[in-house]
Amino acid sequence: MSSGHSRRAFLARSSFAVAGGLLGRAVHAAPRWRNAQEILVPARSTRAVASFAPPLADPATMRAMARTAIEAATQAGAQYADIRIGDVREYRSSTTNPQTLSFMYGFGLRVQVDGGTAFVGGVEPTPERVVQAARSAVATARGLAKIGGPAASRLPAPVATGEWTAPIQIDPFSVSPDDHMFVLSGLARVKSSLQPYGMDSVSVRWTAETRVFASSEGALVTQHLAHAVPDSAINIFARGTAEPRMLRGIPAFRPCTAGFEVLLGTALHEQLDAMLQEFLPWSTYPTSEVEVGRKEIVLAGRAFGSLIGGLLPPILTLDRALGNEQDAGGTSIFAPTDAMLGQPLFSSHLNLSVDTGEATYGRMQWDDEGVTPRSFPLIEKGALVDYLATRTNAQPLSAWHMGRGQPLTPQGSTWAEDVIGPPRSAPRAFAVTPAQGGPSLAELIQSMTDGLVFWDTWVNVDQQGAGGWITPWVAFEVKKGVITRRPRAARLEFSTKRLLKEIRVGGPNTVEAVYNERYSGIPWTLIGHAMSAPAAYLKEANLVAPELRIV
Amino acid sequence: MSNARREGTPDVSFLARRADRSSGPVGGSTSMRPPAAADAPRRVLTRAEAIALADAAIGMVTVPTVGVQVSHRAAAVASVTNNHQPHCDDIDELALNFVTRLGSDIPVIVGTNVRDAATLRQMIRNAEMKKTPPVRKEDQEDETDPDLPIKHALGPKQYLPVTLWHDSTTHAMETARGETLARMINVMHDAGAGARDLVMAGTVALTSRVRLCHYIHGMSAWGEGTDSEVTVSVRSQDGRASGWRGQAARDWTQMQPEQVVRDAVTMANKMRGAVRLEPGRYTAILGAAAVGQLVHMMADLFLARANRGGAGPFGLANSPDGHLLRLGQRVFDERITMYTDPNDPMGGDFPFFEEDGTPSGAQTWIEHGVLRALAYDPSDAMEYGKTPIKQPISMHVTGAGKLSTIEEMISTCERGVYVNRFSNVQLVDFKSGAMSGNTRDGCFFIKDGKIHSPVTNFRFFESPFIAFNKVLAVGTPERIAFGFTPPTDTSFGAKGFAGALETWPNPPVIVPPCMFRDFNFSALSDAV
Repeated sequence: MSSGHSRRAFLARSSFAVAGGLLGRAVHAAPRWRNAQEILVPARSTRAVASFAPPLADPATMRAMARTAIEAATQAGAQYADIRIGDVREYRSSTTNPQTLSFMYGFGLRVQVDGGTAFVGGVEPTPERVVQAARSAVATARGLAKIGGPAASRLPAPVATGEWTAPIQIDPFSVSPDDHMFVLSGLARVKSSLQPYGMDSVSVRWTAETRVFASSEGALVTQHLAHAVPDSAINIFARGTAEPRMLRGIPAFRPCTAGFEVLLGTALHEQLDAMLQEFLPWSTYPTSEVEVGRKEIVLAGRAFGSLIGGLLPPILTLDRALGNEQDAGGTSIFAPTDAMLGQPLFSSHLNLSVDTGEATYGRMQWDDEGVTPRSFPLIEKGALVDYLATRTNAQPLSAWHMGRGQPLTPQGSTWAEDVIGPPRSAPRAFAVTPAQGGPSLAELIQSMTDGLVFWDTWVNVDQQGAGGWITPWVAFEVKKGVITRRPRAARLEFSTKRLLKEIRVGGPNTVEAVYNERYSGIPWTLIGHAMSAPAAYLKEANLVAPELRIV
Repeated sequence: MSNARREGTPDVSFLARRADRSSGPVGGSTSMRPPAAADAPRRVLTRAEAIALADAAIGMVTVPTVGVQVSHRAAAVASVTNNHQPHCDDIDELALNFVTRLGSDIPVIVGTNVRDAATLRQMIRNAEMKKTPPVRKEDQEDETDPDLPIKHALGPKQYLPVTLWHDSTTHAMETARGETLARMINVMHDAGAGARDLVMAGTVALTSRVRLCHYIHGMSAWGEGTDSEVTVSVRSQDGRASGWRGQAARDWTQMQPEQVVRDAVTMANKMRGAVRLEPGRYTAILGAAAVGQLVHMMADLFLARANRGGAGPFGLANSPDGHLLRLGQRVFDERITMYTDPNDPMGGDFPFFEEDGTPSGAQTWIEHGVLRALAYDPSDAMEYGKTPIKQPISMHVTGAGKLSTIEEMISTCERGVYVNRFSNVQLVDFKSGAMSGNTRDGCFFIKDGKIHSPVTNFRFFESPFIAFNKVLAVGTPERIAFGFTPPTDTSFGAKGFAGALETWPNPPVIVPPCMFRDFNFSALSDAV
C-alpha cells in the first residue's frame, strides 16, 4: 500500500468507515503472554505499526536454534523432545482506548524421559540458552521418571517439514496507527445517527506470529500466522447511563484469519446500516423487573455461541475427562470416556465440530505437535463422538475409533497460546451446525408464548460442567410472540445434560460468531477460540433474579 | 546518586551466575539427594545485587529517570495426576521498570540469557527507543533545585522490619518437588483398601521473590518473601466421591504434605454414598477454605468508590444527612474483625510498600463489626480529602470471644450443612455483594449435633456481607490454600492474566471456619 495521502484516499474509496460497528470490549486487557513487552503507540503516527517493535527474528535463525535444542535434548538422553520458538506481536487499535502494541520472543521446550515429562520455557532465546534449557529439562524429566508411571505413547503422525504463510492481503502491522484510526473513526458518522443513544468504542486485536516447531521425530516447520479478533458487535446504550439497550453482531466481521483488508469493503457498511435500521427500535422498549419462574428462552446466535463456547470445550477436553485437571479447573460430567462415546447425550439437533475452514480464526498449517489440523465432529446428531485430545493423551480413544472402522489419528489441535507455556488441546475454532431449513430468529420469537430472548451472555459453569448459570447482557421479554419489555436483570440456571438434551437450533441465517476464552491445564493458561453458532430455543428454563438487597 | 550516565562497565556478574543457575538441573537432582542447606542456591537477587543492578541500570538510561523498580521472582511448581504422572514447571522472571520524568514508565524484561552489562545496556536502549518521545532541554526540570517536590516525595523513608523470607522454602525449591511428590504418591499407595479406587491429583508449588524500589532522591524500599502451597484433590474412580485439602505457608517447615494427602483421602472416603438434600436455607458450617473463598471475593468491595451512594454493600443511598458510606456503622456481627498487616506472622503482604515505595501499613477494615475504613486510590483521596489507602489484597479475619472448633460447631447444630470448600465463586450483584458458586469436595448434612450423611453438592446464592451478620460461631483462623484453581471470570478486563504462573501465589487470606445462620443453598448441583 502506498503511503500518506494516497493511502488515505484508497481507504476512503473502500468505504471502510463502518468498521465503527465494533464493540470496544477487549476480551483481555493485559498482554496475552507472560513476559510480553507492551508499549503505547501514538494514535496519530504515520509510521507503520511494525516500526514500533523490535525487528522480527530471522526464521532461519529460529530454525537453527530449534535444531540445536532438539539435538541437545536427545544427546542428553531424551526419548522425545519438541520445541516451539515464537516471535509474536499484537496490536490493539481502538477509537477511545490507548493503542497498544505487545510483543514477545520466546520458546517452550518439552522433553520426555521414560515416564517423566518436563517443560522449560523462556524469553529471548539464544543457542546457548536453549541448549542449557534442554539439558536442564532432561535432568528434570529423568528425576521425575523415578516416581512416574509408564512412558506415554504418542500417536504416530507424518513428519512435517516446510513453511506456511497465512493468506492475508494487507498486513495490519504495515499500516500506520493513523490509518487504523481513520478506518475505525468512521464510527463518528454512525454515532451521530444514533442520538440520543451512544455506541461503545470500536476495537480490533491484530496478532501476527512467526512460529517454528521442531521435534526429535524430524519435524521442522515455520509458520507465519495472522488473525484478527474484533469485538464484532454493536452495543447501543442510553446516554448518561451506559445501560446497554441492544447488542448485535456484524455477521461479516468475526474472529478470523485475515489482514487489514477485512476492515475494507462495502459489505460491512451496508450490514451495519441495515442492522441499525432494524434494531434501533429495540432499544426503546421500557424496562421492568423480571418475572422469575419457568420460561421459554431464545438465545440469539451470539448468546448460544457464548454458552456453548464456555461450556463444552472445557468438558470435552480429554485431560479433564481423564481427571488430569481435577486439582485445578475440575473434571467432566462426560466421563468415563468409554461410557459416554456414542451415547445420545444431547439433542438430536445438536452438531458440534472443530472447524478448520478457510477463513476461520487461528488457521494454521501445523499444530504444536507438527500435525495438520483437520475438521472433525465432537457431537453428531446428539451423540458424543470424540474428545479434544493431543498425540500424547489420545490412546483411551483408540478402541472407540477402531470400533467405528476409523484408525485413531491425531486431531491437529494442540496449541500453546503462549509459546513459553506447554501446548494443550486447544482448537482455534468450533462450529455448531444450524438446522437446514430451520427457523429464523424472528420465527423463533414469534413462536414464543411467554419467555425471554437473550442477545449476549456471560456463562458460569461449575467444576464439572454439570451446570451453571447464564446472565444476559441484553434481554427482551416476549409475550405471545411480541417483544414487550426489557427486564433489568435475569439469570438462567441450567443443568447441562437437560439443557443440551432439550435445545433446538435455528436456521442458517441465525448464525453468529463469537470469541471465547477459557482457562485450561495445570498451571492454567488462558486460551481463546472462535465459536460459530445459530440461535437456539429452550421450551422451559429456570429463570431466577440475581439481586439480593440489604434492607 | 543522580541520573548521570556512568562511564566504565558496572559489575553485574551476578547476572551471569543467575543465567548459569537458572539453566542448571531443576526439579531435584537425579540422585534425589538433597543438598545441604548452606549449599542451597538462592534463586533470586540479594539486596546488594538488586541495588547494584538498579544503580547500573539507572546509569544506562538516557531519558530523565526518577528511579527503577527491580522485581525478581523464581517459582518451582510440580504436579502429579492420576497417582503417578508428574510434571514440573520452573520460572525465573527478572523485570526492571524505569520510572521516568516523562509521564511513562519503561518496562524491561531481563531474560536469563542476559549475562553482562553490555547486553543489559542494549536491552534498555531498545526499550527506551520504543517507549519515549524526545525530550527538549527546556522541558526538563532543574535537578539542582533543592526544593523540587519530587525530592521530598521520593526521599529516604523508614520501613518497619518485615519477615516474609524463610530459607527453608528456598531450600525446598531445590529438593522438595521430587521428594515431596514421591512421598505424597507413597501415601496414596499406603492408604490401604479404602483408597484402592481413589485417584489423586496434587500440586506442590514454591516461590521466592524480591522487589526493590530504588529512587535517585534517596528512597530505597526492599522486600523479599517466600511462599509455598500444597493442594491435593482425591476422587473415587466412579466419579461419585471427592475430597480436597490444601495448605499454604511462607515457611516450608510448617507444611505437612503427607497429612494433606491423608486428609483429602479421608474426605473422599467420607463422601461415598452421598445422598440428595432438599435445597434451602440451612445453618452452614463453612470450613476455612470455603470462608476464605468468599472473603477473597469481597476485596473489590472495600473500595470507597465502589460503594458510594449505595452502589455497594458499604454504601448509603438517600441518607438524610447526605453521607454516602457506612463508615462508623456496624455492618457485621460484633465478633468479626477484618484487617491487613504486612507483617502478619500468618501471611503478611508482599511487598509491604507501594510502587512508589510508600510503606503499606497495617489497616483495620472492620473492627468488632464496625466499618472503620475503606480503600481510596490517590485520585479518589484527592477528590474527597482523604488519605490514600491501598485496596486490601490479603485479609485476616478473626472472631472475638469464645472460638469453636468445627466439631464443637457441629455439636451445637440441630440441622445444617457442613461445607469443605466452594468452587466457581462469582460476584453476581455489586449492590448487595451477593455471590454464587458451588460446594465441592466435601458436603455433609448435620442433624442433632452430628454428621448425619454426606450430601451431593449445592449451588449457593448468598452475600457474605449478609452472612457475616448472621454469625453463630467462629473458629481459629488459618491461612487457606488456593492452589491453581483458575479464576471464575474470563470476561473483559477481569483478572486479565494470561496464565496462572503470572499470578501465583494468591495473597494470603487468613480466616476462621464459621457457622452462619440461614445460608442460602439455592439449588442442587449435579457436579461432583
